Amino acid sequence: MNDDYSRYERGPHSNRRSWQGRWSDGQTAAAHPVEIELQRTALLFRPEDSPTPKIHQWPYNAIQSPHPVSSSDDHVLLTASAHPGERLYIDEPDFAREILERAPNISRRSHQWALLKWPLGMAAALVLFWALTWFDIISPANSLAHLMPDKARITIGQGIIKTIRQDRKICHTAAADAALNKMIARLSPALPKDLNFRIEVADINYVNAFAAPGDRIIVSGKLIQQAKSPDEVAGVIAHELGHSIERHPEANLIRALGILTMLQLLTAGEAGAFGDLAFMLVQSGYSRSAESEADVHADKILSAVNVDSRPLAGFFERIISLRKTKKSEDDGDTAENGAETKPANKPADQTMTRHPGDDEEESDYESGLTSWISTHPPTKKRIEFFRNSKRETTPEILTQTEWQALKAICGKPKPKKKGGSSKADET
Amino acid sequence: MNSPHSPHSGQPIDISWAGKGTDYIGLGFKIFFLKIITLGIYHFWGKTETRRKLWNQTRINSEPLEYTGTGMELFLGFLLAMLVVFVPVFLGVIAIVTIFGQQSPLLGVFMALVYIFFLYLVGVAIYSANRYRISRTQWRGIRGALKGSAWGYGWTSFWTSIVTIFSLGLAVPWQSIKLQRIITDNTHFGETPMHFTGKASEIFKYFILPWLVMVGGLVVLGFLLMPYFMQIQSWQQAGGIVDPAKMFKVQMIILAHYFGFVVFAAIAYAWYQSKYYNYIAEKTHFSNGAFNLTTTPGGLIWLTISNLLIVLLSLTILTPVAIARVFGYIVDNLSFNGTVDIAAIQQSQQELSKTGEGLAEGFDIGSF
Repeated sequence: MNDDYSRYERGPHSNRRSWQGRWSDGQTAAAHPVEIELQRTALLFRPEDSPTPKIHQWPYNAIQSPHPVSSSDDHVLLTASAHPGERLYIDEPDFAREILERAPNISRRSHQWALLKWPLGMAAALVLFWALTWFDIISPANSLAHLMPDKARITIGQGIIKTIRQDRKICHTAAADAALNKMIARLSPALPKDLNFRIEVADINYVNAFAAPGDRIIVSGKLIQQAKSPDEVAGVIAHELGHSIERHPEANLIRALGILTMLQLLTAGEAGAFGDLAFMLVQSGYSRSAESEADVHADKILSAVNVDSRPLAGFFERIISLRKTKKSEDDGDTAENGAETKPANKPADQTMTRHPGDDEEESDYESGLTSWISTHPPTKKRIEFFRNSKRETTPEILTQTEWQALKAICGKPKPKKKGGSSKADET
Repeated sequence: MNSPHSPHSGQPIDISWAGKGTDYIGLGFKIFFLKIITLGIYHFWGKTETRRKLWNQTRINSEPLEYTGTGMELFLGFLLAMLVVFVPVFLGVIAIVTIFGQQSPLLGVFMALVYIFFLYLVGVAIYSANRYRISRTQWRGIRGALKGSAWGYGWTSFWTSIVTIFSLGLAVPWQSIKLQRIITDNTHFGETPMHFTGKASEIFKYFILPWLVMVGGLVVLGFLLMPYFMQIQSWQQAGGIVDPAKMFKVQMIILAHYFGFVVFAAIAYAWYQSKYYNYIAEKTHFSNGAFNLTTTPGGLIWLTISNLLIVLLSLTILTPVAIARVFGYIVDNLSFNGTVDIAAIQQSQQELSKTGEGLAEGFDIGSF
């Protein structure tokens, strides 16, 4: 027997000890007894019952094991990558220790790394992706939003407007519509030609404005009542149009769906609780950079049509001061500094973003829509941005009569149901 | 070695389990930790790791079984199932809600259709998951194989489920035997098939008793609880404020009765399950013999309760321990009567799928 092996001896270091084992050829389940020797670079064996004696050679670095081998094991099962299906089974003590010293791929450590490398790599890629989007280096949601077909954007927008209409009506009076159209006509020349937008006033009893997918814009009747001039309303609309131009509402929708789907995929559906978290993160509104993008558009639009942007700054300022009197001092400070407090609100519809907050305590809660101001306050920086304008509005956007008609678009302000009169109440 | 393989030359087969549940405690904590640092992705690799150990500790004639599946196969299978089945449904719901609103009757119709489709897919998922696991199981380098069509099995599972519902559960043994026959008759080790000779009529006698016990139990429960429900109703009709202490007491009594019934029913059902598993094994033939399983109702009940506690108290971290205890209990009680002509078993010619178990993962099926 040893004579057969002698020609494979390569040097003085070779170990002449041999082990008994069983070999299966991968064709049948038969086990052939073999004698195994551990050479310098390979494991050698010859099936003893083979009619044509053939010596098999398994290089150590090609040897694998279906289960990690530890040195105390009293039996070892080995495979070789070059011989799929073949199995070598050795149940002699000491063999595990000897083979572990030679074959690099069968240790516990090597097995663990093989198991861990892909999940670890994928997790690292995800963290990198998240960081890149967080610092606005890439924004896949925005890119996708620009790829969205108009038909899909419009259909989704209609769906969202429809759900809003279930609770409140869209306000119309002939005179107010004419005034609104005049205001829109004033802004239009500054807008991209392909922006197929639509602006409506909804009977919402708190100060708000938002852009929905499909270039739909909703302004609350209360916002118009609270505005001191047509310039303020035009400024808010220009800002919302900025969101539409940048397709921020669509991007928000895609981001929410993306995060939710990712979480479900990665955790095999175990992410029930994380799903809500994702919605909360996304529904908090636009990022600070999205807000300034919309502001830049607003300023461009207003300057192109000769509308003063300082009234918009004043409008933001009034909201802040109203908020300050309402909330505790440090809350107010945070809002003023524009420190973005990450979402604390319950999820509402993630596809719209609330705007310049409201001045009535109760309206924060009376509708399911949470006020945008609590998460994304108009910052000092944004106010300064609009204040720097030196233009005068020429000519006037609306005549005094038209302005009064627009203010009354949703009828007379409703009196409060429970005690306490609001500033908006007129008798 | 017996070189000429005559049809009845063969060797006895010894099946044994070389592990214990406690071997899996460290594994449970390790997988939990690795899941955290990989944002949960290790889930699929952890499952693979657990299976490799389970299979390795299962010995046939003292040689270990081998699990050759990979975490990547499970992961890709899951992604595929999600993209093909679950994401479209999810997007469908979102589309209906945004376009037609939350109150749209279309949503109900869509969900009903999805539910029916899923009922069908569950069968497909079970079969595919079995096919994956069997094809990744090797002994002496010979693969197992589950032939046949997963869609066909899904369809049988679907319509027999409907029959079973209309039979008030009386058709359960008929359905289980029908489905088991499809699986066993398609299961091969190498190219050697298994063969199932079970009949529903033979197992029905074990089922009728627990069934009667459960139905009878429900009737008795109704009678026992009637006075308490009437009491509550009379309080509600009388109006005014009900003494909360009194109300609490009555609710507790009702709850205790329900609990008693559940325990009672579980014991009756465990008795049937134990008989059923043992019967299935006995009627599963391979080569020149058949399997033999000796589970006991007490063993199953203890296993279920203790595993429930292990999983709950460890906040699911020790799930591998629970899995290993079930696996070990079955292997420990499993034996083979007769002989197998091992040397005559040829390697399987069945092609291997590239991905595994996606659907089953999505439906949260999967015993091991």
